[in-house]
Amino acid sequence: MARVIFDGVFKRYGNSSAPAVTDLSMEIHDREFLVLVGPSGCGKSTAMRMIAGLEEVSEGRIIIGDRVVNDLPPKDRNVAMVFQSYALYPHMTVRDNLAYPLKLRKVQKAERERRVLEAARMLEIEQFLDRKPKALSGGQRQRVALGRAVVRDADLFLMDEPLSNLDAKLRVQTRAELIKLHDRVQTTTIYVTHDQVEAMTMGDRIAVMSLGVLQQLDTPQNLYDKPANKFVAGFIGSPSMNFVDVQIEDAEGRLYATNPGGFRMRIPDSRGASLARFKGETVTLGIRPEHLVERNHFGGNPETVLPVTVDVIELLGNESFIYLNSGNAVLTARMSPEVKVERGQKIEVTAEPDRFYFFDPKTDAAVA
Amino acid sequence: MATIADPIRGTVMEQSGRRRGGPRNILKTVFLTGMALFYLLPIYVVVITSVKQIADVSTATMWELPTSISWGSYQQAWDSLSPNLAQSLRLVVPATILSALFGALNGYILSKWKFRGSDVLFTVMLFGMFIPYQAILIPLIRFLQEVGLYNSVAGLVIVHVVYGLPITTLIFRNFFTAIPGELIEAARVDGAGLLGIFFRIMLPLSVPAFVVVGIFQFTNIWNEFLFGLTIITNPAEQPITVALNNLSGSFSVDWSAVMAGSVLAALPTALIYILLGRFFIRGMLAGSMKG
Repeated sequence: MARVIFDGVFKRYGNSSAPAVTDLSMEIHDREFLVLVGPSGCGKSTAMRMIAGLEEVSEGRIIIGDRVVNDLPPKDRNVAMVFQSYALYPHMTVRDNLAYPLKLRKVQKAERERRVLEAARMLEIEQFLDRKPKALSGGQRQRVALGRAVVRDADLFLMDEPLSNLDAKLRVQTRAELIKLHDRVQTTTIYVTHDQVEAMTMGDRIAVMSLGVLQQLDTPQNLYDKPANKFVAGFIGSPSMNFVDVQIEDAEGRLYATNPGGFRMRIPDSRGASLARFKGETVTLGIRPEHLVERNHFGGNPETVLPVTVDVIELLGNESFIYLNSGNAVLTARMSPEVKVERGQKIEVTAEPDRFYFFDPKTDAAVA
Repeated sequence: MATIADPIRGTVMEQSGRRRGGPRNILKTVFLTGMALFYLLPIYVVVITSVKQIADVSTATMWELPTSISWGSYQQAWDSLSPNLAQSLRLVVPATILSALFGALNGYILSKWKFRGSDVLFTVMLFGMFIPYQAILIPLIRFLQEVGLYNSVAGLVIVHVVYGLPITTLIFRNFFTAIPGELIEAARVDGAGLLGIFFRIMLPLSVPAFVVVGIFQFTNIWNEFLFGLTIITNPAEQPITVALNNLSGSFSVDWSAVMAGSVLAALPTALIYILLGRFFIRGMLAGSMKG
């Protein structure tokens, strides 16, 4: 069990100008399940590989427990890793695959066998112990890879997209099992994925990365409710948040957001204070599809409405995606199937005042 | 309708007829069989000459089958060649094993533990394949004399191991390149070091490459003549290829004994190929395809 600290960590490859990881500082708590998420090339895997010792740290420090591990080889870091390809040893039986890390750590034979059996039982792969990996299905191989981590009594589990080679159904099932496994063994786990649903459902906290930079580190709910910037707002949530550039205008002491050639929307009073400094300037307005409500279905009197035209309707049975346009702005709304609208119909949509997000277009930072 | 369908059906039948036993295929088979037999003619002459009586051997009758079969020439060849045959085995077995092992180690480092300049080093190593034996013969022998390995099997083994390194390194490097890097990373995280990974993970996975390198090196070293002739001076200790050459005396040649000796000398490599040939082809293809 251990915490992990990144202290001003950089990773540079050769002479390329943009570092793969830039000034990464964060603390992963003991027993935490932390998810590193971001699009491919965002540096999440590199960050994890630096913890494992498979990549050197160019600058800064990585601390596991109380040890600075920068110069330790992987074998001395006492971390276990699960790879996307599972990386099982093809010439060894499942039993030998599980026992190999113990053998390397000079664990006595009897103890080795006890722990292999225990791990196999926990992951329900007992009946496969004498098979070779190629005689196993993808899901079974995945369990063996997990078993090889569990058997070790490591300080830290590192998981690099461990579910992405499974089919959709098995992935959802294994996701739940991984959470249960973590509850049971309580080992600090760092989990890399590009899938925001995996991140949201599994992580105690999530670190969102983009272009080598940590964007936000917070609980799933906070990432959803209070995204720090436009990137996080757009990355978390599916379908992703609508963004429209609007001009902030002041008319008789009230603030309005105007989309040139499109809508003019009153800004909720509660948001006025923070937006006042953008008077006469452009900001990015963000609204999540699931927060857009057709006016007649909105309980109470909305402070603000957007006049829009229905472009396309996608009925999914339990919900519908409605594509709306207003001048040059295109919005996606996710509504209940009870909302009856037709293509070409002009409707008004609205949302709760605190469900409107605003981002400074120069920095992409959220305007609180 | 019928007029359109019929010609189509006709073509189909014609095509399927051509695939089996059609006149074109018979011609092809006859031609290819003829070529194969033509290529086997020298073997035929070697074998029939080896069982002829000395008196029956002459250029005029060289294509004719023997009137009576005599195994005496084999006895004779065995008597004079068996020490050299043993000597060749003493040379070829350690030299093949060592050059395969070192090639595997080189290939492992050059494919999985790349360091600054490792690709350049690999290219330079490959140049070794293109240096003709004759070009380095005199300095090589001087060197062996200096280190006290001249005129010994050990010296000859070392020469063959070193000369074999470029090709064995190349084969193993290409083989190991196809082994996923994640496997090595997994082993590193599991606690294995550079050599531990080599012996516990890479070697067990590289049997096909060992077969290829084994056959290749065994055949090359077995058939080699120049080093065997020059590095070892005592005829009784020279490898079989050199001894076979010595079998033909200066004035008269006992052709049936020479031919019997050739068969004896060729047997080990032929056996190796017959036994391991299937793996050889599989190994050559390993890595080129998935699955």
